[in-house]
Amino acid sequence: MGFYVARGLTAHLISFALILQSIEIFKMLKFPETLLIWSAKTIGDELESSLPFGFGHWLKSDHSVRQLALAQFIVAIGSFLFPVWPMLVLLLVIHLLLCVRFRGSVNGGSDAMTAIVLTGLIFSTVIHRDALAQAGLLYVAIHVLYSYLKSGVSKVRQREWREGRALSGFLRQSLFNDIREVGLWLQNCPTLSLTLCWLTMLFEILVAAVVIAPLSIGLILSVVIFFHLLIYLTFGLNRFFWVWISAWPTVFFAAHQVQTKIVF
Amino acid sequence: MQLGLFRALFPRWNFFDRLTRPLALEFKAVDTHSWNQVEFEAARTRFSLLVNPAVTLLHAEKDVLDDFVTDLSQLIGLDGLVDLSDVRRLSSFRMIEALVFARLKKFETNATQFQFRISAQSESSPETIFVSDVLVAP
Repeated sequence: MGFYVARGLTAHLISFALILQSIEIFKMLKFPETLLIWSAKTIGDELESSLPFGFGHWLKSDHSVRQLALAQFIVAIGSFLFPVWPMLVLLLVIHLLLCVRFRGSVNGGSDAMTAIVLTGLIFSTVIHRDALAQAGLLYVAIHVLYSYLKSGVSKVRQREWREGRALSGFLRQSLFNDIREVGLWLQNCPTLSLTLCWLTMLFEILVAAVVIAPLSIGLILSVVIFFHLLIYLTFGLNRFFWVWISAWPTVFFAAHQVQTKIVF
Repeated sequence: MQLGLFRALFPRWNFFDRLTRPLALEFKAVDTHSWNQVEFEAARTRFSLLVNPAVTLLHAEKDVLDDFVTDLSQLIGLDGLVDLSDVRRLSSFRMIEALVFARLKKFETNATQFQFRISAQSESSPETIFVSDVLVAP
């Protein structure tokens, strides 16, 4: 995948993901506990002491969440239509402010990857020299591949994963009753459980190999989408799905760079 | 400055690695005897692949619970005890208090005083990690 196609796709997809996240925040605000738990009373002191120039005073207010969500919605639509660097910078700033407002993150990993994607895109859009601009996309690609690799390696280091007990354990802790039942059932199928645990670990560790493997984009994307759809179906992590999918064009770009420069 | 507020800038890609004992958060109004569990359960909704507010909120609430237990573990002294006044100063404590109060209101709308406790579930019996003193509804 070429640089301009990869950059364009990543920009459109992350903008789309942030439009969805903005709508989601508005809907979360309809639950009374949202502004009870993340309120001036609970985290206001932390926000005020950590941010300069009275910024924390504004950020701790209930209005700030709505204002930031609305700003993100508008700017994300703008960057979806015109993915230029000022829009992307604004998106990054708003995204980070929302994370701070929710005391670090709304949804851990997806927030971190959103920041990485936006940072890489900004770099690749601001710099006009192609060779340097490409570094922005490669930065994202490295993080994407490292995220799978680190996740896989950290699983391999856990006995419950190596012995095939971890997956059923995590499924039993799902928010969904039907998935908890699957976890209970899987607990009684040790061979299947062991196989699935090792398939998960091997997939995460070997994903990085796509950079050198001459496989079709369609095949790789199908497997990746399947993996993230499964995670969404079992744990409800919809944000992860969109953010990781938005980052994958950078991996295809990296693969193209590597494979066209290395002759096997 | 609380660096934790900026954790989105410091990714940790350890997804579903350590299988820990699930935490249970329970609450009761002071004038009752029975503890009620805070359920972290969700139903699937249409278009939730796009927008999933209830589930995202539940995950965030579970993270608040995990953060509190982590903060608590850092307050434990050499004698294995925790000073409750230190605990009450934690932001994560205030967040748990707010979460529990929100759930309590759905149960008993007139309750003005309540307690919560956190335990780690296991196959044998739960291990109590923390029991709050009596808290006054805001």
